[in-house]
Amino acid sequence: MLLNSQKLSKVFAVYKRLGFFKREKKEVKALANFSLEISKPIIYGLVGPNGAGKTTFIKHCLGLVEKTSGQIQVLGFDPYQRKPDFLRQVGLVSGQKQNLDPNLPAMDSLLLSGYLYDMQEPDITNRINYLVDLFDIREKIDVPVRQLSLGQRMKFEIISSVLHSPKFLFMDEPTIGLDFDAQNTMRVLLKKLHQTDNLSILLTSHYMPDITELCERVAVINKGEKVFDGTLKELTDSKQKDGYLKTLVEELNKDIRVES
Amino acid sequence: MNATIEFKPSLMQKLLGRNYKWWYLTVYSFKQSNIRLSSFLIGNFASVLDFAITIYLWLFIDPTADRITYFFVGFILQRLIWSQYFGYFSESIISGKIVNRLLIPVSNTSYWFFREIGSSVIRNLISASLIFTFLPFYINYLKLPTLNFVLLILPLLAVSFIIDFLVSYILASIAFWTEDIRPISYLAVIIIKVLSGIAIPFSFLPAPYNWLLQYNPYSMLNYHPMQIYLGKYDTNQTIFVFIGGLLWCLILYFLAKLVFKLGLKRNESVGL
Repeated sequence: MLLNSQKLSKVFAVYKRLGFFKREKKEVKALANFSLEISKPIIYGLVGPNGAGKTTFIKHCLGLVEKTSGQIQVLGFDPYQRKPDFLRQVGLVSGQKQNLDPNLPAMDSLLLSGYLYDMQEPDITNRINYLVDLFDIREKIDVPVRQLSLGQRMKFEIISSVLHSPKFLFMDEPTIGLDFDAQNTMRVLLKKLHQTDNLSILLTSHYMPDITELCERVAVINKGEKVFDGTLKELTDSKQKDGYLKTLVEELNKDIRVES
Repeated sequence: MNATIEFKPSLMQKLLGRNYKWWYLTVYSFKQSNIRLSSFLIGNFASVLDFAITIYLWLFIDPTADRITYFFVGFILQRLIWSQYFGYFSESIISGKIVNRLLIPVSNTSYWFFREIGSSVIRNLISASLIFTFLPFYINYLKLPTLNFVLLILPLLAVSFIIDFLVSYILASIAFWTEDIRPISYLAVIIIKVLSGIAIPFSFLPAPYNWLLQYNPYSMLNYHPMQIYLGKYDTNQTIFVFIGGLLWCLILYFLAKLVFKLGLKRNESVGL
């Protein structure tokens, strides 16, 4: 099993200040009995409105936050233990978080990443050569990251996240802020990566084309709870009465019509 | 189209093998500091100015060779040892950038330790050049070090560097519990100046505070090394101080690991 989450729950404590010394504790449920199973390398879409719990789930998959209850295993590991063997097999791309030093050329950060993942030379150089060609960004590798466009920077962010050949890549809104061309390019590249590296991808996105063009299966999350889990076709063919799911299905179908 | 990147192993790569990553991390940190050279220059100039004012004042208060040497050499030790990564580490916790760190399969302590070494190279180069410009003004007041100090300078510096690194690590980890670490960092700088003896020599403080302060870990940063430098300690006392420093390293190492582990439990990886 690549990913196995059973009744995963997360409650965050939020404090509201009532006076200088007094504050009120509130509990916010970010995940409620969330179960998900991924058994073969696919691109899996995790969809939901803002604050639904998508990113919280990714944080749990990577062991970045402690669960309140339930079970989660990724590639057979308890993520929260953050064992080196586990970390070498996972990667993260976040559209909102930069991994590369903006003042240095991407090449420096990529080499550092390779060494820190205990990769050996010439494997690092070979892998960088392969990825910069795949992403068609070789000519920008010696340019300081802050001088790159958002699309170019995202390409290097993805290269940095897959440099160590992870088995599972978690992508949190990777196309956010990109123009349509850059979004399309990114989707083509992700598909290629998935095929050539046999890479499993769990993807969250608010852009419907990311879901319709990339994902074989989709889980829909709302208010921390899973409200749908199945193939994209099952979702688009389903009859939803109201609420977020109805809007989502309408948007997905609209996008599929445009594509066809 | 650029040419294919070719791998040419460096001597360091051949020598260090798998541990080359630590060397590269140090070099990477050096490069990062080099880019921020102008801010480094201003920051260092400010502290050297602070040093010049302190020495100038002590020339009026107690213009003996012991006192002026205590502050002059003490300042050089401070520049060599005092870590600067506190801000970067605590900021990475508050902004959530620590996520990138937590996903790399290396120890967080080691990661910041080698980054600190890399950035300290630039800092020390700048400080050295500034201090040497002041040297001619104070040369007549300065004493030469004792043999014990010369023999022990490297291990003493290493122990002091590690102690300062670990205390900063613990203090920076407080960022897991607060949204704004700046007040703590301001407070820490003042407290550390007092605890290390760089602000006021312990002998100026009333008993039992001066006696108690000798046993705090920060006394290894300035007070004890300077007592050895000035010949105030015999060989037995010097060895005792050195062993005490090693014990502090051990205690602080486990404390740093514990505080970071407890902090991680509160980590919400904001902004991801």
